[in-house]
Amino acid sequence: MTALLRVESVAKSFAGRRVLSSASLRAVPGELRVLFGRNGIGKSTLLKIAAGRVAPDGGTVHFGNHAYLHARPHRLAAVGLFYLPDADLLSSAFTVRHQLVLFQRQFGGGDIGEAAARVGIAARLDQRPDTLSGGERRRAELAAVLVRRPTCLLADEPYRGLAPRDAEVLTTVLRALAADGVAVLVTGHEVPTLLDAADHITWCTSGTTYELGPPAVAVQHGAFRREYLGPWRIPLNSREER
Amino acid sequence: MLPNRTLVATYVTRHFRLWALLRVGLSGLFLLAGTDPLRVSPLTLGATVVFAAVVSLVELRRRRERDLLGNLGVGAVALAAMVMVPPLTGELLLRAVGTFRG
Repeated sequence: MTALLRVESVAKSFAGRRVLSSASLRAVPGELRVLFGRNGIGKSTLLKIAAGRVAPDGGTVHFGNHAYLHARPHRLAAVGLFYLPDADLLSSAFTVRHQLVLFQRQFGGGDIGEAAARVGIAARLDQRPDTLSGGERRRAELAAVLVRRPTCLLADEPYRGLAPRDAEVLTTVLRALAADGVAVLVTGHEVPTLLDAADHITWCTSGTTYELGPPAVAVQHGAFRREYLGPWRIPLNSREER
Repeated sequence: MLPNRTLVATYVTRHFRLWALLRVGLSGLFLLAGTDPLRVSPLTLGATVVFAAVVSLVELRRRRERDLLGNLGVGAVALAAMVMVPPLTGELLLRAVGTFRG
């Protein structure tokens, strides 16, 4: 299927240090894609460029039929992109319900009660996010995604710090969104969870990206195994074969 | 994309409150300086509006709401309007009150 979001050959330097030299990224409707890479390699920067949060030094961002030399977050949001940052998304100034109402009214979104029930925070809707646990805050953000009903979701390390139960809810929602035709792209280091959930793996290293394909193929990639996964992360099947 | 009424009301109310708090403090300073707080010069009025807008932007940053607003489709122009209009309206109202009072 054609990619909804395409980031083409972007470069980015910070204070003279080149983080990305020619990196590309794709988000495809109906697929859950995972961007792996070591810490500080530029995954979050690449995602922020894709979401219009950071201006690249070179390269383009395409969303739908439009090409953006400098994408702006609000313009991409208006055409269907939702960016879930690695920090908290929802404000501590308003209740969860109020913020979900903002999404619902702005985009003619889905039912708030239904979204909250789906992620298990129906009883927390009238609380402010800063009174919730980390896992509940992440669920509340997922409720915002469900209410917004985006066509493309970019999530930066959404599994970080989550308890297994919350991680399971997150995986279920991400898979359901992909099944509904949303283009989902996430980053993270939770290798077993992400390999299990993903349809496609992209590897970010040395300022560029490699499309490794489905997880079963990706884990056989020698350099990816050697430089990122490490010897301990050889899949069970491969170990049995040996 | 224009922000919906609920979003505008939410942020305009908050920024109006911030301006009001700020203005109470500034009015004390104006009184100490021997100036009528309701009849400040246009330059002071403009500076107060800009100061209140900057405080509102700092509050947005402190609460890390830029990503939230970005996801809601609020761009720089709409954001500037939402932080400038409440203090400007408040200052113009105070000025009108000062003028009518004579």
